[in-house]
Amino acid sequence: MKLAIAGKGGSGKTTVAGTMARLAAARGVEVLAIDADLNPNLAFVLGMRPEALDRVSPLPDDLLRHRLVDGRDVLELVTPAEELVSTYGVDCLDRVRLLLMGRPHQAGVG
Amino acid sequence: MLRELHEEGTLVVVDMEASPEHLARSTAEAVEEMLVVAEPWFRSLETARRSVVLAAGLGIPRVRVVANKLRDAGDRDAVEAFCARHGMDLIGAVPYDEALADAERAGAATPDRAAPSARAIDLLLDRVLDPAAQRSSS
Repeated sequence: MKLAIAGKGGSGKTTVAGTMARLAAARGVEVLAIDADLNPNLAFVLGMRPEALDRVSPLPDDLLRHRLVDGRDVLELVTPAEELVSTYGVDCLDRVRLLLMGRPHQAGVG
Repeated sequence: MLRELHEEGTLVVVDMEASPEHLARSTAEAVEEMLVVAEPWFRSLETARRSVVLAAGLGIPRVRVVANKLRDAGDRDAVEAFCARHGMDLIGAVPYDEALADAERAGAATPDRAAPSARAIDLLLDRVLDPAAQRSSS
C-alpha cells in the first residue's frame, strides 16, 4: 500500500503522515516513510534529533535516468529501489524506516 | 522509485510537497491513495479542493480529505458541508490537540497513542488499510 499525504504548509500534513507511520508500525506493519517535502520535517515527528538528521544522507540526485518508453519520457532508477532503501533508509521510532528524497536539506544552522 | 518498490505487506507513507502540482505523473501512478490534509478554514479547504482535483487528474485512484485541528462541532459541520458541496470524500477528522501542538512547538515526536489526535489518526489508518474499502474503490 502506497499512500501519499499532501496539504498546505501548517495544515498538519507532516504530523498526520508521521503519526500514521508510527501507529501502523506499532501494529506490526512494516513501514517505509519517505520525506519528499522541500523542507523535510518528517524525521522530527518520527523522533529524530536535528543533530542526527544532519548526518543522514538523502538519496543522491543522480539515481534517476531518463528513458523513452512508447514515446514517453520515463524516469527510471539506476539502482534497485530495495537497495536504496537499505543503503539510505534510517530507523526511527517504532521501527519506522525513513528515506529522505535527494535535495539539499536546509538545516538553517550548521 | 515508488513504482519500483514492491514490498508486499509494507506501508509506504510519502510526505509530499504541499500541493500535488509538483507531483510527477510517474510518482502519481505509483500511489494508491492520497490524503489531503485540510484545516477547517475556507482558504485551507479551497486549497484542498484544488489539490483533490489535481490528484484525481493525475490518475491517483483514491483521494480523500483529512479534516485536521477541529476545535468544535461548528468546525466539523463547516468541513462536512464544504466537502459535500464539492463532492470531496472525507475520510475522517482529527481534533485540535494541545499535546500535539506542544510536540510541534518543541520539534519533538508525536504524542503517545492515547492522545486524542493519535486516536483519531489510528481510525484513519483503519480506513486506509481496510481491504474491503480498497477493493470497492478499484
